Formats: sequence, C-alpha cells, structure tokens
Amino acid sequence: MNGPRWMLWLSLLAISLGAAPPGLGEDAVSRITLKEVLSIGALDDEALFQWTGVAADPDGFIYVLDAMDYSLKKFDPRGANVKKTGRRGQGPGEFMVPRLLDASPNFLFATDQNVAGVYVFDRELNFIKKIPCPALIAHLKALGDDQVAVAVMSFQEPGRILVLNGEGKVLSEIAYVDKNAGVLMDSISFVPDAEGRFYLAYLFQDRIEKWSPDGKRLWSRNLLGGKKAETKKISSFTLPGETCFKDIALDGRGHILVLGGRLAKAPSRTVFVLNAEGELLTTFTLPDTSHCLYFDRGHSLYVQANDGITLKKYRILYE
Amino acid sequence: MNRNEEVLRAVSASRAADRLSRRRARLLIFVRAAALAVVSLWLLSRLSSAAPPNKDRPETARGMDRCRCWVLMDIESFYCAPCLEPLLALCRALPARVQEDRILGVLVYEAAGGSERSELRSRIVLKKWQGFRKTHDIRFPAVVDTGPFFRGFLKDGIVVLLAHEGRNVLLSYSLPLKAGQLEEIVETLLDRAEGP
Repeated sequence: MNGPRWMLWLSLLAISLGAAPPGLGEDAVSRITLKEVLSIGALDDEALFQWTGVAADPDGFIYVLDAMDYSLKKFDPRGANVKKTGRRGQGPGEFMVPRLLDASPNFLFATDQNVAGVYVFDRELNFIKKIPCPALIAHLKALGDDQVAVAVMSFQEPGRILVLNGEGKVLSEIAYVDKNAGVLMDSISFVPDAEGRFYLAYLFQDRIEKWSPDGKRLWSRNLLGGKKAETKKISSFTLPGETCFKDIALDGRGHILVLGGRLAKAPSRTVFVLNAEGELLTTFTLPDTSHCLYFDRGHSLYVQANDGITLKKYRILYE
Repeated sequence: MNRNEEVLRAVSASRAADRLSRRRARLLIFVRAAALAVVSLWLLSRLSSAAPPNKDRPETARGMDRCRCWVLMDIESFYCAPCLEPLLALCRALPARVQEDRILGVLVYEAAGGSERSELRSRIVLKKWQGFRKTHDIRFPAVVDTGPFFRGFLKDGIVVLLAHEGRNVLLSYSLPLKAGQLEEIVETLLDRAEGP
C-alpha cells in the first residue's frame, strides 16, 4: 500500500512543481526586452520639438502632435516627414496647446488642452470637424471612425468616461469616481479593449482598475504598495504634486502595460506588466523617461525620448 | 715657434672657440624655438579640441554690448497661453534689428544629473527654443542658464528685465504684463522714453 501512496505524492509534487504559478497561464511572460526599430527626431534636425501625442494608422504611417510648433505631423513608416499641418490659433485645424492624439482606421482625433472638443482630421491631415464635448478632455481614445471615448474633468463634477459619436452625442458613460476625491485626484489615463471594457490608471492614486462596458468595476489593484502622492497647497486648492502613474496601454497579447510616474522605482521609466485580471507578471524599464505608451496595430511600442524631441518605436521581445 | 705664430695660433683657437660657442648658441636657439613651436601647437590643439563645435554652442547675441533687455524664460511656460501672448506681442512690436541687438533670452532650468546629462539637457532646451522661435519668427537669440542666479527671478513663467538707461534703473516685469507695461518696455527699447 505504501508504494502506490508514495507514487501518488510524487506525482502531485511533480505536477505542483511543473504547474504555472498564479497569473502565468499560457500567456505567461517573465521578462520583457525592447528592440529599437525606429527613431524620429534628433538634436540636430527639425523633425520634432516637443511631441505630445502619437498615433499610427493601419498602413504604418505615424502621426505626431508637436506642442512647440503647434502642428500635426505625418511620418512614413521609415520615419520621413511627409506632411505637416496646424499653427497657433483657435480656428479650424489650429492649436493653442496640442495634447492628445489617437487614430481610427481612417481618421485622426486630436485635442487642444483648453478646448472642450475633439478635432477630427483625415489621414492626409485635412481638418474635417470638431466633435463637441461637455467638458475639458483629460484623456482620449478612438473607438472607431465615428466614435471616441474621452475622460472628462471639471471642478463641478467628478471625472467620467464618455463615449461620444461623431456629433458629440453621449452614447454611454462610466462614472468611475465614487465620491469627489479632491482636485485632480480623479485624473486618469485609460484604454479600452476589443470587448468595450476599460482599464484605468489613476495619475495621482496608486490604483489600476478594470471596468465593464456597463459601468461596473471588475477589479482594483495597487502596484506601488499603496503609496500616496504628496500634495501641495496652491491658493485655496490642495493639489497632488507627484504622479503615481502616467499612462496605460494594451499590447495586443492580453497584457496591460502601466507606465509608472514619479513614485515608481525608475520615475517615468518603470513599466508594470499585468494580465487581464490585474496580476503583476513582470516589470521592465524604458531606456529614457516617457509621458506615454502607445501601441500600433502591429503591436510595436512608441515612447518618448530626449524629453520629447525624439520618438522611439520598439518591438517588444517576450520571454 | 715665434711670438707672432703663438699670437696667430691663440687668435685662431679663440676664433674656433667663438665659432663653436656661436654654433652652440644657434643650436640652443633652434632647440628652444622648436620646443616653443611644439608646445604652442600642443596648446592650440588642446584649445581647439576643448571648444565645442559651433553648432553645439549656445547662441550668442550680435551687439551684446548694447543688450538692454533680458527675457528670462522657463521652457514649460511656453504652454501657458496667458504668459506667452504678451511675449509674442512684445516681439511683434519690436523691429527685428532691435530684438537682435538689444534683447537676450535666457532659458532657465535646473540642471539634474551629471555634466553629461546637463549638456544633453541644454541642447534639448535649445532645440525646443529653436522650434518655438522659428514658429513665431522671434528674432532675439537665447542662451541656457542652469545656475541659481536667474532662477531666483523666475517664479512665474516669463520675466523681462530691462535696463532703463535714462532713469539708471533695472526694471523687472512678470508676464502677463499689467496695463501700460508693454508700451513702457517697447518705448524704452526704441529709445523713445523720456528721461528722469
């Protein structure tokens, strides 16, 4: 009797040793490295002066908003500048502080920091229209040629994610803040997945969340051990002075990538890699500080370098 | 050997010694000159390699001896529309020659990291400035400053320091400007201001 029992225990031990640890399924990843495939903008050219937003179309063309010359620029897949539009102003196709950018298959969606609306351009950089929005926009993602999701903020109301159609009609809304947490404390970056769920990274709170399309919180995670951002008093407002996270993105393989802010181990360089359930799989460090993470349809990663005068495109190598 | 021969031999020996001495002196001069040339060449090569190439040097103003106005700028303030508009208005109000000769921009930022990082950061700031300057057709040049002196003046975005020769005072203006201040700066730079 002892023989078969030992065999059973040995089998269980072998299974347990061979089994994947929690969070590492068939999509397991233990280490990530980056391979640079393209670099746009250098110290001695005039390609980029301070890029803020980046997007890529299905043909590999890259679009960049530049805050220093108020422009929207188009680069071919090899990084050559093929077109530029925009200037300082408040007219159609003009910018005062160009900031966010995303692309659908046929259109580009851009925001100006102090404008409650989304500018729509075609892929030849022709200004098409402005989608009106009920409040200033803190984050933007294109959901299709005629649909965008925006995170809106105001002093009067806590932050919300709105899904707007091309005319600015609110199709759905996610009120992700339970109560008013304080000025700017509801600032988020978000990314939708193919099923309409939203992943949120709070800029000034140690919180990463997943929300269902109908506005239910599915999970909430801390990645910084519950660290709290320091605050400072300016006039009558108490404002956060340090960022917990800067951006969140999906890599096309079901991983959630979160860019750490000032409170991360390597500020603006540490990237946390989570699975769809929010379990931390690994981290990696960007070569230079960045304010955003962007994935194109080919799953290449775009980040900032040289304080915004360089755009780097990397292929991600998973181990 | 008679007395004359002895004298002649002594003179001849003396002349030979003299020639040898002159040869030695010439050789010494030659060696010294050669050494000096080598040292000079070495120094020149050191100096030329120590100096950064022109494209890396900060812009320097033409006619800086006549500079009377310093525009202290934090590059981040370029995103502040209320700060920026008066600066652009000032530039629009001044002829290119006055901007070039009498204004110097100072791009103030706090250096972080080692000297290599600081040098890179200076070049990045200058490149951003060049893009901004070209976009707005601003004609005055700018230098970068990482020290604490100018930073002390720069609490709110952009500051204009103006040497008013007529009144022998240094005036300081924070942007956005108050009513009448833009005209005052322009008048002073155009030499139309009244004396004390």
